[in-house]
Amino acid sequence: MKKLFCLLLTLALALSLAACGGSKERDAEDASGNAGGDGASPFQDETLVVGVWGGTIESVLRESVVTPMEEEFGCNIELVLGGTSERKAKMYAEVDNPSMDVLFLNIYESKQAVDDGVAQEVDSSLSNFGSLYDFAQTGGYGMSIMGLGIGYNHELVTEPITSWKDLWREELKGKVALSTMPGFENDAFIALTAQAWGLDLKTQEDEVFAKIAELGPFPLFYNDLDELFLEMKQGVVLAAAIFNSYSNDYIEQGFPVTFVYPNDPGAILAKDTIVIAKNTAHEALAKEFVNRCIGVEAQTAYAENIFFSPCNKDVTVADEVAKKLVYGDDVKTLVTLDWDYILEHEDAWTDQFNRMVEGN
Amino acid sequence: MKKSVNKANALLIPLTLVFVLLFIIPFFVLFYYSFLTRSSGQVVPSTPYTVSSYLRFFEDSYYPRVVGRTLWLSLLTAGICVVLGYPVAYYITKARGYWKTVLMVVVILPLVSGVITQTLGLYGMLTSYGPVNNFLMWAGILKEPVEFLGTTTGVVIGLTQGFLPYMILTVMNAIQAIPDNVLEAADNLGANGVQRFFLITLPLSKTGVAAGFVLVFGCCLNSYTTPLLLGRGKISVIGTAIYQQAMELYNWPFASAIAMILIALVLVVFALGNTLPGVGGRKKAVSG
Repeated sequence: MKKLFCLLLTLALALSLAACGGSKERDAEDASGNAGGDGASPFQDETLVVGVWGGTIESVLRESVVTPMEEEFGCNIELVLGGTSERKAKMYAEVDNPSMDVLFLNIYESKQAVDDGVAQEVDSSLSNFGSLYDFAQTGGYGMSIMGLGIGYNHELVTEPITSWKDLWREELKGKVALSTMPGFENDAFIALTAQAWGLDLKTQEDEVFAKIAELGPFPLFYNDLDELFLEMKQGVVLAAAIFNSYSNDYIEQGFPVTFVYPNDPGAILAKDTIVIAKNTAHEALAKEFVNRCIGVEAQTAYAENIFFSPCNKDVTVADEVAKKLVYGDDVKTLVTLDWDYILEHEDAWTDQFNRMVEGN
Repeated sequence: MKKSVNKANALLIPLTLVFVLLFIIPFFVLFYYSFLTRSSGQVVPSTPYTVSSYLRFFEDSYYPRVVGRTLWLSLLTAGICVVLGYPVAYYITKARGYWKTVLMVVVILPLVSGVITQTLGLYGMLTSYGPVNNFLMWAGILKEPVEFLGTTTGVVIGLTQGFLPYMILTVMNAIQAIPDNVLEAADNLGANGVQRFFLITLPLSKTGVAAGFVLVFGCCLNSYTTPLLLGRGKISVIGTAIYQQAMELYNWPFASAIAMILIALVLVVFALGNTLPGVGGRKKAVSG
């Protein structure tokens, strides 16, 4: 028994020492992070937790906002990487004591979060707020604009794609990839299929799904863009509904893909949005972070590095970059969907979509 | 004697605490959630209590079909693992020295690498333009590439690759437990190699086969990553259905109800497995 007690005591001691070590390391990091500060920072040693996507988005955010803020204020900004579904679930489940202070969500998730009272209303007193486009000032702070259009393999598709209806061409049958359901891309695709084929989504839902099923058999339902673009390069997939920003990123890497803003009914407006958790303990720091994100510097970095179109009207970029963005007057051409209706029916649509996938 | 039993019990305390904290309590939370109502605009469900989630599962034939598909995939995989795993386990048991160590490392290595790494590796192998198709076409077995990904075949290949080590290790344990003098006695009584295998080794190792079958079957029933990646979103199983409801649609009551049904299925399978000859009791196995 004595031996067992000694063993447990040693284990506890080792864990305590490890924890102290970690804490000391953090302290040291904080101190060095504050080396450039003036010592009177209002956010000294505060930790802000931000939920955001990984990959190139994380890199550009870290470079343009996180590191400069940490150096200036001596604060610590922790990025929690992942998809929006986990973030949103956490935000709702932890509404009284949120583990994330700032969250990046999509256009409808952010609006819903604000409407449901789990995220704060926007604060128009932020110095960069007035520079945002009008549609970027509601339902959270608009971070970047994207257009959902069509990416296709221009080496294997014989005629250029110009409208959504072109996806139903015979040569593309069995070669169109959709994303997994539910998600922005498919929610939007269901709605735009109805518009493209003159169907009333409210009364002809079955016909809309039958129309989508005509595209099958589907080669894949993607949830990973590397996989999608690899299969597009190999010709397993010839076309897919995808965002302009992501497409341009892969096109830059040399994939034989062309991105188009199709007509009938047009490219669909998507917006990455930032919200601040309702009961955050670091509200002032969270607002400072958001203000930097929507400022010209960060928005320009997003546009130039990863082709995410700015929500800030004051951003100017070179013509070469502008071609790859939804920029200036282009913003007005994007179609805004009735997200309230779509969200209301997402459950039922998912069931119907699952059955369609099963039959393909 | 009593003192040593107490010490042994004390050693179980940390594991018991972890088990209660990470399994028993979440199990009851899930069970409770499955009877709650999903509130509009909320992730966390609330009262009134209802059985509507269970009713929905059985009303919509889609979900029973998902269960049926999962059971079929799991049975098929477990069966293939028995066929492929037994000879390997037998061979490794008979191997000696350095060669045995090498074989053991080869079997255990996939378990160390993790399911995502394994599955992504297999994904690259199984694409229509990957090495497997290229080899089959080079060998003249195929005239044009076969699509493994997005099919039941692809998922079964992935599950088999992932869970085969469990079968091999379980069967190996059973074969190693057969006393040498039993086999020597068979030799002395004039049994040849084939007779010795079918009359002695196989019957005495069936406990391991049954345990391995149940283990692989249970693992397949819970699988998520392999069907998701190799199924290309086209092969829905219980794991992917639960994820879709819980994490994408935030319908926790329905996701909990599906999880409860899954747990019930696993319990039924283990109970049935326990009734198999040689599995229920050690005495019976030894005497068999």
